[in-house]
Amino acid sequence: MKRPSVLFAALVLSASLAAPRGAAADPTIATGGAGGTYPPATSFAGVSINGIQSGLGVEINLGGSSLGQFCAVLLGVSGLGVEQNIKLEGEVTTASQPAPNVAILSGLATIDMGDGLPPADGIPFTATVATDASGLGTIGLVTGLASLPDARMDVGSLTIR
Amino acid sequence: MTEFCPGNAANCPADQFKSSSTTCRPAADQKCDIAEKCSGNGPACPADAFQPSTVTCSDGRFCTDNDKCDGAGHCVGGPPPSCSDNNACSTDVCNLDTDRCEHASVQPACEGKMTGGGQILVDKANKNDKRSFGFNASGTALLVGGARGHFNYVNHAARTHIDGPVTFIYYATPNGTGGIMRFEVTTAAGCKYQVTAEDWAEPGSKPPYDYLTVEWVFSPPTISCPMDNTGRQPLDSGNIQWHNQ
Repeated sequence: MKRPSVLFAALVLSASLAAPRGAAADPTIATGGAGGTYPPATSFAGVSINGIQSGLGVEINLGGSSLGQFCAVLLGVSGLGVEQNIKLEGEVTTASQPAPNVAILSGLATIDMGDGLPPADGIPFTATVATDASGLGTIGLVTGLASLPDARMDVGSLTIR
Repeated sequence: MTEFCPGNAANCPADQFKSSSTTCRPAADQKCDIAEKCSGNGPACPADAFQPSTVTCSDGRFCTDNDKCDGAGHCVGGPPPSCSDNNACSTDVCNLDTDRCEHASVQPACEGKMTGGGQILVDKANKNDKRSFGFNASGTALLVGGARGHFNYVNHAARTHIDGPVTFIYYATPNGTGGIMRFEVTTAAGCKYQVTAEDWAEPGSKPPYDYLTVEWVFSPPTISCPMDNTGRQPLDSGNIQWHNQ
């Protein structure tokens, strides 16, 4: 039979040994769950876009290698006036942090235009996430299909640390 | 019984015995021993008898289950009950000294790293009930101070959000196609949530889907925390990824 008291002691010892791993060696983390709006007359590949809902979780390592996910749902209206949401599901493979509050995330994405046609795979994308003092900020999106101006986030939170 | 001289005859009265309703040997154990009673027609108490070993009993301890009499008047503890906490990263032991379930980290401890970003729909009948999330979580399970990362989540319909560091990892285990991690998030206000991220598919928005579960667990006094409990939801968009470290 295992002896829990011994294992617990080992846990405490492990905790004390793990503590010295300093924050300086930790990669930058960019995460977010937020929603925002685009300037009037914004469009993406012919679809009028008024909002974005985004979730992202990325690790940015020194040297630019990165791993994580970037997802955006673009809230749009088709030319026929019906709701048309465009989904971008991206795998982040490179990233940089040009400023403490800015993360530039790049990789390949699958984009579903929400028009009933099959999604397009392997579309390059770059998302520029900038946080502000309120814990929100902006997300700029450039893809191989189209580019968007910065969306101003007004609900949720963005974090770079 | 004691017979007394009648006072008017030479012989002692005939021998008399206590009635058959009189207990001559109480049960030493209420469950496994049997009280013996006088026969009513003799002086001897019947031989000591016990419950058979098929009779169930209780020795009063949590860490013994299915206790049974031993046929000699004693209750004997059975095997320990299950102490499973459904956590593959912890050992499960019923400690006979403390008489309670105890859990500790398996050795070597579970470690994992997961990232995710996407959206879930909690109320499928309400297309506006969308929750976007993003996280990065890594570290050692069941180790205080062993978690790193951050979690963000927004309920677009309610316009509430969760934003905080990953403060503890309950478990982190590969599952063959990816992995599963359950971690704690603590916001700046002290609100606590448990988040379970499951990586089953690539991408996670297609069958068999990745899953996210967000559970509110604690609000500090006087603090109003978003009490989001999403249930286990497949991703509507995005992906959750287990990373082999």
